[in-house]
Amino acid sequence: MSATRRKLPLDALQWFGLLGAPLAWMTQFLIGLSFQFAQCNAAGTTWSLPVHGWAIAALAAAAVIGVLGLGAAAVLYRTISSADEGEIPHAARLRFMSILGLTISSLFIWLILMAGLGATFTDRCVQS
Amino acid sequence: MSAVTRSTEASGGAEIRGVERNRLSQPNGWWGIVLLIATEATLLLAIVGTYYYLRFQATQWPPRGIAAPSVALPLVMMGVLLLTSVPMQLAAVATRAGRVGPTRALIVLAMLVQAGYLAVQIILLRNDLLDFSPAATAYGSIYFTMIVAHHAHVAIGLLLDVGILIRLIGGLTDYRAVGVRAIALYWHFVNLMAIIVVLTQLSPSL
Repeated sequence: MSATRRKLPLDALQWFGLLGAPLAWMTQFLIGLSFQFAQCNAAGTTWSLPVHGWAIAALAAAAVIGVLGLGAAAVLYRTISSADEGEIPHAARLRFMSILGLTISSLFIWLILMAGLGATFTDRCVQS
Repeated sequence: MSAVTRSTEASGGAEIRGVERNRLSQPNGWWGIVLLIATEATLLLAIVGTYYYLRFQATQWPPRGIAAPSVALPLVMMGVLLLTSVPMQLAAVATRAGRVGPTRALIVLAMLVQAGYLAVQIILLRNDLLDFSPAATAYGSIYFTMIVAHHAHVAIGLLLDVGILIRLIGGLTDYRAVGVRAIALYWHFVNLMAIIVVLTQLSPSL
């Protein structure tokens, strides 16, 4: 096994590639929902919360994590594909999970972008 | 390498490490506590979400006639509870070396602090009940629901502590070591939830 490959935390890449983007989207969604609830209900009539500012910040952070998750899945897939047979333990499972990660991360990056851009460009507290 | 392969029979440090080395996945006890944590986290976070949902519907929170919660003592108590994650984690580490004495001592130390925390919290809860009712306002309902749910998790953790201490009287096996690690994980979860619950409880005063 090459020294570079041996140093890669393959299990961590597997889980981050699989769950990074979905968790980033979930956090973005909860932040957006919380600010909307806070600003657009009775309590918010006396507040002026930076709803759009937070939507942009959450979009940026979630997009970065989503892309990193996609990258982790891609690195894992490439590592497994270029390894010799028997070189990496549980290679078949890691390969399967990396393909799942590539698919899921790609979908969730789109979700993050669509939800974030929608929240940023629509007027606050107005039903669409 | 040790010849003992069964979790319930591996008793010394070398035997426990041998069984752990041969595992292909996490033990059932670990998966069990992770699933329990997942369901309990859902329950507690739903209660916290409800608190904020109700809070955003009201222009006055807490309602008139109810004082905002005092900050100092609950924050100090939360800090004390958080510290118990340290002995619980050290106990989990001690089990890997097969050291039953330090494991027991660390769990007892954590348990005493956790019991003290629960006792003080029950007194604070009683004082709150004298000030306002859980039945009169939405604030009272969600406040007491959230606090009692959190205290119930602390009480369950104490029962788990007592249960594992009783099992450890018969010595340390890998099976019981998994139990200690699972209970340590449960306490890390309870302590994390304590941060969320206490900060939510104190949010009107922060």
